[in-house]
Amino acid sequence: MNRRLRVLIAKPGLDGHDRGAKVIARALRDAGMEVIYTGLHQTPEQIVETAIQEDVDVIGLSILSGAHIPLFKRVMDLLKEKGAEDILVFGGGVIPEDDIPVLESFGVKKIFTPGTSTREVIEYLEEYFKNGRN
Amino acid sequence: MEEIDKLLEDFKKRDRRALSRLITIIENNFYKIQKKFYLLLDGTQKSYIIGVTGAPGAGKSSLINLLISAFRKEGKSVGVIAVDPTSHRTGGAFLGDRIRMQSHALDKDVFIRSMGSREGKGGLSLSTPLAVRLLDAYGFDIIMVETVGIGQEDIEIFKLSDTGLLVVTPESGDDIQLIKAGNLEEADIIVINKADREGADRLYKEFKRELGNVKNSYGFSPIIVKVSTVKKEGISELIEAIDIHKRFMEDNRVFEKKRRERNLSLFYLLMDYTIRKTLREEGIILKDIESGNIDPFTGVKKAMNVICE
Ligand SMILES: Nc1nc2c(ncn2[C@@H]2O[C@H](COP(=O)(O)OP(=O)(O)O)[C@@H](O)[C@H]2O)c(=O)[nH]1
Ligand SMILES: [Mg+2]
Repeated sequence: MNRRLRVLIAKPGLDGHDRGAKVIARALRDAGMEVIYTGLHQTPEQIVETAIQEDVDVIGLSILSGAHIPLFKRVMDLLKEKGAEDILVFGGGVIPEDDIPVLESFGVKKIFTPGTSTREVIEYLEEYFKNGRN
Repeated sequence: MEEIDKLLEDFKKRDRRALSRLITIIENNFYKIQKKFYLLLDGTQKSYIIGVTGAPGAGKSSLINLLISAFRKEGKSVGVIAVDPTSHRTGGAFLGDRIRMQSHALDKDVFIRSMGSREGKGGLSLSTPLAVRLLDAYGFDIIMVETVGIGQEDIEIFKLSDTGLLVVTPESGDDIQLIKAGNLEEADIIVINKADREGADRLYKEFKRELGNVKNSYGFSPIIVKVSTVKKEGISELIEAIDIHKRFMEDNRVFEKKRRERNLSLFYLLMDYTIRKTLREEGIILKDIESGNIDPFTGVKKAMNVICE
């Protein structure tokens, strides 16, 4: 199988910089993945529609604004609505410990808190997809 | 196999998920649908294909974004394939063209797909023309293809398009040199983007002087248009230029010629793909040549037997 992981890195919410998102995007590219990057201020609707058009295996959401719970909830609901819940969703950013189980209950697979190395993210994805796309 | 049949069926019902899944299969495992692919195409090529190329940062994606808006105002549906370079070392790619086009993300009559160039020559692999065929079969009125082009490689995208745009900017002082080297004569329209920047007028005059009497292989003189995507200026002039080129092709029977050439070029790409795929599966001939057991000429004879079996 000659497949390459496709990852959408998106930055929902209102806050104004995407340094973290770009760092992870470049790291995943250097690990041999195809990274679709959409820039700042993406709505959950745009993220999910983009994920479908780009047929990604993974969505990585970078969040700093504190509105992570409703944003993640909406993304996960929309994915289900479109029959695209097989896409792996992970999150990164400043997310309080207590909120992680809440996000996981929506179906978010993994939260990377600040200080996580890009290596860990890459290893997580490679492990998850080691048997190919589900 | 059943999964593929279901996809093809969904595609015919114009399911977007099926469209995007099929593009992935084209990119990764085309052989899986190769035998059935023609069923999707039903012989017709109706979309108008616009190729957009130029150096990184010239403003191709920003331009396509505005062209989408303009075509949508005319009620036309638009499919976009945006190709960015794949890193030869890692195989990965940073696909950032969508950043400029996200205002169209929720438009049901717009479909945008990013692709890594992977191993394609001139930024174009077999995947790109196949994906264009698929968008065509899906029924988009307009298809735009963005590729990064430097010099000679531009030609590949122009072969794939009905109208080929080359985007240059006042900053890139070497563009005129490229013209003189004769690499760009197949561009139908030269877009001088960033016309809000200094030097655009001078560049325009230079292009006019250099290209004034130049005609391409079918007798068309490239049109030069100044655009500023930040100021949203020059877009209607560009649309007009595309229209002039289209009418020229209709009046001079160039359309059919272009499409025939495109079919031929796709045929070669498919043959190349099929031969390589078959030989990889067969295995022994490639190994024998590598190890020096047989010479390349004997290899060809053996390979022909395998392929024709
Ligand atoms: N000044 C100016 N900058 C522009 C114009 N068009 C695009 N840009 C900028 O050029 C950069 C590259 O644009 P992009 O569309 O991504 O270029 P591409 O790499 O050719 O697709 C971005 O920072 C744009 O904002 C223009 O008309 N004027
Ligand atoms: Mg671009």
